Amino acid sequence: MIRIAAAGDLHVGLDSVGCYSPLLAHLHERADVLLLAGDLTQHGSIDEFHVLAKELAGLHTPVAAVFGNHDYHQGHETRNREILESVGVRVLEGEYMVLRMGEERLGVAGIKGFCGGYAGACGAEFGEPEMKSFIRTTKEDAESLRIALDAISGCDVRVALTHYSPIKGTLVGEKLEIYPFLGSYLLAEAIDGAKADLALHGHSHKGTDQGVTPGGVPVRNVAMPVIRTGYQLFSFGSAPSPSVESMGESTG
Amino acid sequence: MEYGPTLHKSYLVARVREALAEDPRLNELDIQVTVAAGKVFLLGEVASQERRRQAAIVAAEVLPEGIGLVNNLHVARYTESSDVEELR
Ligand SMILES: [Fe+2]
Ligand SMILES: [Fe+2]
Repeated sequence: MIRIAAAGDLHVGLDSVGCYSPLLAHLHERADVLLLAGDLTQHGSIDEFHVLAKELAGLHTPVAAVFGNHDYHQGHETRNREILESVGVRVLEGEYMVLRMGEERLGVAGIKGFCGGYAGACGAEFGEPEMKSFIRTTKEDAESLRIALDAISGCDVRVALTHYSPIKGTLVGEKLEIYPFLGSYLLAEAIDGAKADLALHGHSHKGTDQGVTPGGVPVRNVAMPVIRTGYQLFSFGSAPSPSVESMGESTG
Repeated sequence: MEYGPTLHKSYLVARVREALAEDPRLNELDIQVTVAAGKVFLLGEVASQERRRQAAIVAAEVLPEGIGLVNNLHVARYTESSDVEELR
């Protein structure tokens, strides 16, 4: 049994001291890992990351995170990553993490991702240098996600963690005009290519919690303004792993 | 409705949204701005009382004289966790 807690868009500010940690009081009883889907802070400042690190310090649950656009705003990604790592939070920027839970292995491939729109109505790497670099950024992030997912292909449960949305389905409630700024289908293509078990994202505060990729991978928008809780819980585990099955036992 | 020679209603909405998103005191991208009855309304949700107050200050600074501001923003409240969704 693998139990995942996930939340995005905490938007922690200097006025958020003591706001998130109370919501995590029972986390260790409910989940094996906490995944944070970006926009961890409001302005991306070093001081805010110190506040966030305090909120996350001392948890008895492993934590992995991707950054969001807000976390990039002041250009302190390197320092902010170090601040999170100093309290044991793994930051995934085109990287992956593998956690062993009993007989099973959970793999998480994470990247912020970027925008560009969805199949049939998206930008192309064409024209002005600014437009080309915009779409190239999305393509590179999708490729990094694909490589990270490939690296965890041997895990029993494989999760893609992004800030931007891989699909339109979880954006329902947002203005149609801003869809191209909320994500890219290229992320979904990478997720489908790897046949991931779950895709988690944030960024869309007014969107919907549930969707599915064209390839059938469940997508969950875990932005806090959407889930209305400190974290959303998911579990995998009704199917016993092959080695256990061969011994005629069940993990339940 | 008169907002001045160049400030059409839709530009006024854009001006306020731009300030809310780009002002370093706030950086709020998800506040809904609407103009009605000669007033600018701030609608939606922010994370704290302080951000609610700051949003009104930032918005007021870019409003032309004589245009009122109504702050309908509310502060988000979160419960601890959800039920478990079993995915497999
Ligand atoms: Fe956000
Ligand atoms: Fe975001």
